[in-house]
Amino acid sequence: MMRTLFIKEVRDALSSRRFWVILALCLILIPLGVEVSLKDYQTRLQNYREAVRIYREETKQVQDVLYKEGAKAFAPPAQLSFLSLGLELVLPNVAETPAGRADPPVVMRLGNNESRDNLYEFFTGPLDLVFVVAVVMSLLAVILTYGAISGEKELGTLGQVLSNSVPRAKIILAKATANGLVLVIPFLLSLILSLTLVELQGGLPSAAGAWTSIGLGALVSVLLVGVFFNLGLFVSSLTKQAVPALVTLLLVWVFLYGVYPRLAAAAAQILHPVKSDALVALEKSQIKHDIEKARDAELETVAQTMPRDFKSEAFKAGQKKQQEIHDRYQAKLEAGWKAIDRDVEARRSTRDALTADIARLSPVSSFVRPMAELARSGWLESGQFRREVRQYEEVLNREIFDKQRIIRMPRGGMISNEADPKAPAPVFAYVPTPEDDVVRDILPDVALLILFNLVFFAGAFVTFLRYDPR
Amino acid sequence: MTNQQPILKADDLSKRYEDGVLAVDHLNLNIYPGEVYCLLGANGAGKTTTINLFLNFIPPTTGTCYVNGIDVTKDPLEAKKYVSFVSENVMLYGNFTARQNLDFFAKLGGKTNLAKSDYYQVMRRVSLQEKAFEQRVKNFSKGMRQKLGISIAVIKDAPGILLDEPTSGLDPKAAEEFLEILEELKKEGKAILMSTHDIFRAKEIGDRVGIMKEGRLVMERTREELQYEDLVKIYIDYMKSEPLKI
Repeated sequence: MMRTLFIKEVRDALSSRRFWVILALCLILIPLGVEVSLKDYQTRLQNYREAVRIYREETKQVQDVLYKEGAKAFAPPAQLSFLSLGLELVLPNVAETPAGRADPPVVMRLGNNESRDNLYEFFTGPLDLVFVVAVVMSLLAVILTYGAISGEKELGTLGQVLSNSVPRAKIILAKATANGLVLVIPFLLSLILSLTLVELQGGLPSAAGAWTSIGLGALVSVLLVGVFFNLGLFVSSLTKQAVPALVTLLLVWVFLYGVYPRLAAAAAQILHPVKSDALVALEKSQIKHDIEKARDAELETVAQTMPRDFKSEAFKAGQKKQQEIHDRYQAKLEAGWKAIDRDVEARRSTRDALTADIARLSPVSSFVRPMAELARSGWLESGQFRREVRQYEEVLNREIFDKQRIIRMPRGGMISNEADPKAPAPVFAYVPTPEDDVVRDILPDVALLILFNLVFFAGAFVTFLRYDPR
Repeated sequence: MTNQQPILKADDLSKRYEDGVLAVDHLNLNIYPGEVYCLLGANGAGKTTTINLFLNFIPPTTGTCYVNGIDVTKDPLEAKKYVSFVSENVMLYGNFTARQNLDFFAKLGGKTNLAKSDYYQVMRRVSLQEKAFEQRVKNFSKGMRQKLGISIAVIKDAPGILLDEPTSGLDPKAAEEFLEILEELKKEGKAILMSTHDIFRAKEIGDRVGIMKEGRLVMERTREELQYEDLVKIYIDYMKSEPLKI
């Protein structure tokens, strides 16, 4: 019986135009999207390599960092950005100290050096797998299922089927499995075709972790398509006609895809506001200004007591006292800045977590975020880059900038740096987020997607068991 | 006939919908093998609701439907093995051919080992044109769809057949052909319950004719009784009168 129902559903789907539209769209959009994204990645990779090469050539020694270029740190572009371009174009991927002489502690300014010649790309968004799945495949899932039950009821075939000795559970299971396969098989075939084409061009990563990410990306994609598929079945089982089912589903789709995630971000910002980077920089600058003013006043007081004879013991004692004052204020400044950084990071982290938690109620958000993380173009990678930059900053301050010495005299002073100018400049070596961390991070979203699938299917199942086929 | 068990039996059957409408009111009905029972009545009289109750599409408020002695509400899947259904507008899968539709519904009806020739034979029996056998159903006329619908009932070979206004909208020739098939099925021993508005054909084919009004069976006559009475006049009189309980 199940076999008969399954074959009928498959045959019905294959004999309809909808299946061929799905197949054509998958075969065109997915390879095209992957190819375009790959070319884009290769361009950005080339830019990254060129920027790193030029920087390293010009900043070989400590003196280059101190007096010429300053220090820079670059994050490589996400190799799997064909899965999701994510936040590549907006989150920091470059950090730099101010060029030339800088007072310690030096703080690296974060920025993004990605640029788009064609601004239309910003306007429309990328043609990555996230777009194809979240927009095209989810809509196709809705289109495939809106009439699965209400359409058959409206047509009259459901009554004809149910006049036979057929368990309703088998009917809904056959519809779900057969139509699900009709939707998922073209998607997976297109994805495999795309990856094969990319592999033939030598564009796929060789690391095992990357393949895990691609596999998980495919799984998360199938789960999202499944959510809209089961939602379609559910709404179809709640309605008596196909057109109201389609209208309802399209409204729900618009809300889940376009409205709710935006509301979530706005709500999180209202509930837990975070200062902008520019405001934080101004606050730091204010603290620095206040501390330096106080420091300079103390240094000036000491300077007034110092004799002009550099070789005298009194001068040396004054110089020592000045260094102590300098170090004390330096520590105070570092502590003040670190407190601001900690506060901002904590608030930002809380706000981001709040946004993610609110947004997760939309399956689209539960899909977009893990895809970005799997592609290494999301929040995790951004956080990783920030942490790596902070560590690099500490190395730079410890090995170069903290070795700055200031001697204040009654009429002026002098600044020197005790770091070896010929020593090799510290190099920033980026370590991406470990695979385990990514997998751990996306687990709640994957679990939610599975839950959405189960809830919508259970809804469709239970409703269909009591569905009036008249 | 009465010493046989009825294939289709309604026992004190009532159905009140959620909006309060009493669609079927204490209906008692027995249809025996080899008998055609025609149910007449205006729109909303409860004819289709009665058929829907036999198919367990809706649960009864009180009373019981039996198919081949099986309580439809308690064991609907078992009961449906013994009944076929042809609706007013037989709607099948438009992208399938006539044979593919027949194959699918035959399998649902438990006939799993049929050959293409078996399907062709049944379609010939209901006078469906040969060229239509392998054509997609979406282009079929209503008459062709009704023929295919009755061929589904024929191939299932269930002892009970429920027909919900099957000749409605058919041209006279197609309706006549349809009734010829019913006559054959009756001779094979099928118990047939047919709701219809067509008084003349009801008189022609029905072994018994019942008139429903506001959910009640207000009149029942046998073929023999109707030889001496004017069914049209009876029908019009009952439609004008207050409901009566027989």
